[in-house]
Amino acid sequence: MGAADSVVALILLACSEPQSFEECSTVADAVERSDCQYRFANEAGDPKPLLDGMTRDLERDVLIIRLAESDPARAGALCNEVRTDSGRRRCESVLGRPHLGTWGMEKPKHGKAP
Amino acid sequence: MILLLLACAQDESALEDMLRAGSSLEECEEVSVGQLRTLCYVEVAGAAGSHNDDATANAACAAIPDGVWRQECHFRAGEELGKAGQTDRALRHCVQAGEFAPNCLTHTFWGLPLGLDLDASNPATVNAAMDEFLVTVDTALLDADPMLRMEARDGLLSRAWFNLYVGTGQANPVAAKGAPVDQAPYARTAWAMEAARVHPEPTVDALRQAWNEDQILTGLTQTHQARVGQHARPLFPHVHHDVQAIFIFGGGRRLVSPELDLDLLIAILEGLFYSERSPELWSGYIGHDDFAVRQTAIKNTVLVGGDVTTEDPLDQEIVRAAKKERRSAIRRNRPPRPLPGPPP
Repeated sequence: MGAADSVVALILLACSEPQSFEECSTVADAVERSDCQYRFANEAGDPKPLLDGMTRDLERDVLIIRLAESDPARAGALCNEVRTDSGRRRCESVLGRPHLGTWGMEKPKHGKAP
Repeated sequence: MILLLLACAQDESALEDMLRAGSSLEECEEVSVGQLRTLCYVEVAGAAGSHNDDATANAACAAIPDGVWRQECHFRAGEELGKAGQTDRALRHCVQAGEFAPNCLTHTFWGLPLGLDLDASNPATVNAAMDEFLVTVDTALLDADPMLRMEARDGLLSRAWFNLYVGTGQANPVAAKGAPVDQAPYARTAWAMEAARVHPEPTVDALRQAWNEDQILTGLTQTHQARVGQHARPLFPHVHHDVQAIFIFGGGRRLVSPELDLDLLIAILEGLFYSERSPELWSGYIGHDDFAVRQTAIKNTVLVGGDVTTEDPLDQEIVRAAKKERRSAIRRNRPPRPLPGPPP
């Protein structure tokens, strides 16, 4: 493959729809890249391996926060993985509240006293 | 390739800004990532609640799609307004907090302003203030589910009467005696808690005498933070629907008797439990003819470590429940709860 072919291949890769989580890294726009990562990670049963492969902390934390928002019951575990101050702050102020982990579960009547 | 790398290494400040957003509604509107925008609104609602800015809190919650986060948003706003003593506004949010409504209500009970400068020796003033308070509560709960409305009323009445008596250093039965029928059980409980706390030798007979003779028992006042007594989680089985029960502020529920003398006795048995730990205080009533009195005495005797032997299946049920609660409290290292520290 010549140099020209390589450039064409790269351009095609950059312009086509990513087919895997890893290919999301070719998306230029940071927000669109995050959307792409979220799409694949949200479908993955366990996003941990995907998160472990990410090198940019901020991008990784944005993905973690988005996943936690989508599934508050997992927020506690996901928040343990954040690395940036912004991610930590969001986890502490909103996502880390324990009752969110029980949303959707049947609660005992009068289980809580005033 | 260099171009691609440059593109990938593009400034991520847009993401960072969205992750940090949470200072205003306008800032949230700018967030293009849905999940981050939702969290931004939740944060704005909580902050607005803590500044009594109900309009902003409402706008923030309304901007979130229906579901867990809108409920959480109302919970956040409600608990913050409740902490600030804005009970009616807090309740309006709690009503919209869905699954989190009971938690939201609990935080609102905690935040209910102390005392309202009421004088427990003046029943007319107390009743007028309580009536006004209930009108506010009922108005705020107009759209609430009936069960939630009942739970809110129950908790708020329990808290309001608790505030009137407990920790004030004065147990004057006059206000409790003058309480309207629907508030009287809460009033008796609160009076009994404070009477037991300040009486030099609290027993059922001593407190009953204080009530009957309109004695004004006095003792040391407590700071708000110190107003925590011994309590247990609700234990009475839900199967006995014919017996009414009410919240005890601080924890648990107590049974109610329609007969004044019996209800006073139950209130005293529960009031003693708030500050006392000697099983003998209750053991004389574990064979009482009245079901509610007997069950209360059995529960408290077992909770403080006393032994109860009974052949009655329903009494055995409460013995088992109380033993389980005691074991659980000990495991939680709260046997059952620390007593208040020394008053200032």
